[in-house]
Amino acid sequence: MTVVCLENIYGGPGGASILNGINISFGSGLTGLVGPNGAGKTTLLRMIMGLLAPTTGAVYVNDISLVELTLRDRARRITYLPQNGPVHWAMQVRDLVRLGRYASASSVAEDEAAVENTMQACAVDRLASRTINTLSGGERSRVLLARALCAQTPVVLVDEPSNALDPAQQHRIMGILHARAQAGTSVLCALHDLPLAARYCDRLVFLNEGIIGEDGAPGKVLTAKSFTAAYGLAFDKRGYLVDDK
Amino acid sequence: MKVGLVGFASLLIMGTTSLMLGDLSYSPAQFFDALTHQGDPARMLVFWQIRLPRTLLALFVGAGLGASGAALQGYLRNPLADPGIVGISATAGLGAVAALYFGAAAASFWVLPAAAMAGAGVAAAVLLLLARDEASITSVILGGVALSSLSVALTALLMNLSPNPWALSEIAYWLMGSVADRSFNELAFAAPLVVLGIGILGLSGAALNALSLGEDTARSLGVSPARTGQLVVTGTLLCVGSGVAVSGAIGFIGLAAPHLLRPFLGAKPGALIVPSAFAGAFLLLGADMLARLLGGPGTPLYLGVTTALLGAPFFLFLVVRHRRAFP
Repeated sequence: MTVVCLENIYGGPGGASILNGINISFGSGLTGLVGPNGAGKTTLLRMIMGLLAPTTGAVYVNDISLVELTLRDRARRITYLPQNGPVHWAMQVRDLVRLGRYASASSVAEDEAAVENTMQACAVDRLASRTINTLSGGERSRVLLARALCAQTPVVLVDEPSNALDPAQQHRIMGILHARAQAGTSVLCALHDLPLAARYCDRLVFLNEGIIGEDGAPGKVLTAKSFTAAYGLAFDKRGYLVDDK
Repeated sequence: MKVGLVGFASLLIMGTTSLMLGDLSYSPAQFFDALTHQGDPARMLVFWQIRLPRTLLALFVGAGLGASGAALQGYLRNPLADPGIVGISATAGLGAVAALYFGAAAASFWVLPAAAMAGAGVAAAVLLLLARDEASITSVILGGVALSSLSVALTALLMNLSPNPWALSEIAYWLMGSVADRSFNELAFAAPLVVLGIGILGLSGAALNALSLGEDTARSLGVSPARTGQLVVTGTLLCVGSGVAVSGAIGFIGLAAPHLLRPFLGAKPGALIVPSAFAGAFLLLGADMLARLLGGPGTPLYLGVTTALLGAPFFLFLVVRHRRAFP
């Protein structure tokens, strides 16, 4: 079932031409958004969240245009975890995760239960009373992910969550997102690590120069041809990298 | 609740001490007599007409400065921010100095505070314009610095053009800040505005917590950074504008109050606003008691001087500690 639908999206920050005619829909499951730096992945995620307005086109969430929703209504439908998001104060982990329930219309008890459950799912419950500045990179990433996931929205947007993490931490993060997607959430995740994307994503979408390229199951779209088209790198018959396109 | 009780108890003890100490000291019995309108009429007069308004004014002005400091640090996400950084103190000061310079302050008690509030209002209007779009924080800081510099320059110009040494000294003494020799008129002007201001700042608390994660994340959580900026600027206008209007420019209370509380209450900006009001009241009253005890009857020590003398080394300590924590 389609949850997020983008129709003829153009634009970028300050009106720049980053996205050049995006038409795509997402349903439940883990969708990986891949492509080179500058392809427009972050811009696309920010437009779906409503942090950037497209020059033309429209974003629909459950058939409701984003512009018809207030900030709070959007927050009840969509969660966004930016890449390397800042934490300006040395906040306690539990307080930080609880911020995910900011727009919640639930009771305090339900909010607290969501916070506890998500902290357990992200394996940060034992860090609950620590402050964020005392955590390792992997722990910090899981805490920020828990902040995002505890909102329990039907749509989750994540921008390169495994960036700068060791392989074990990358798998933990992707495992958590995969589990959430399996439970029926629409997770859209911008990624650079293609093996990781192939391992965890149900669907991969290539984005290059603001245009959607190959789109489908990882086994179908992760080919030398699509890799060359997206990144400008070519391979010989043995699969070794040969040179620039 | 616990924080409120501790804060209230601390202020009660500090306030009672302030009422009892000074050039004319009160024993507990004399204090109780004065409080219940009994005993020596001179002591009663000093208690009700001098000591009580001074103490209460210090509490309210300090509370406004503390709460504004906490909200501004949260909004600007800068531990070194205080009400001075956004220019509201300096423009309020300019308004008051203009009233003194043109002699309008002598016409009625209300002219000087009203002129100070008008000055602060101009700064707040400029800041509200700057805070209305997305990339607001840098604009607010830069706009505040520009407003502050301009106000300091215009204040210096008025002092430069001062018609006589008496007018100059009046302006200079006023700028040093004091709650001495104030009446219930000043209290009636400032207290309601400070209470309203703290209430408005308190409304921004949850949004300030969310803003700790950056503007993008805060907006994705449903926070409007522009509306948060409006609440913080308006609350600061009421708290700081009214404080400067009745007591002159007093620095460092807004900076220090939230920092003193963070080790005990954590770093969540929204949770620091009301406790910082208590801490600001405590600090300003303490500074005023110190000014009273150190300065003699012939050589009054001004409150702004005391807070700056204590606050500047504290500021340096913060810079060094911050550098160690985030090299």
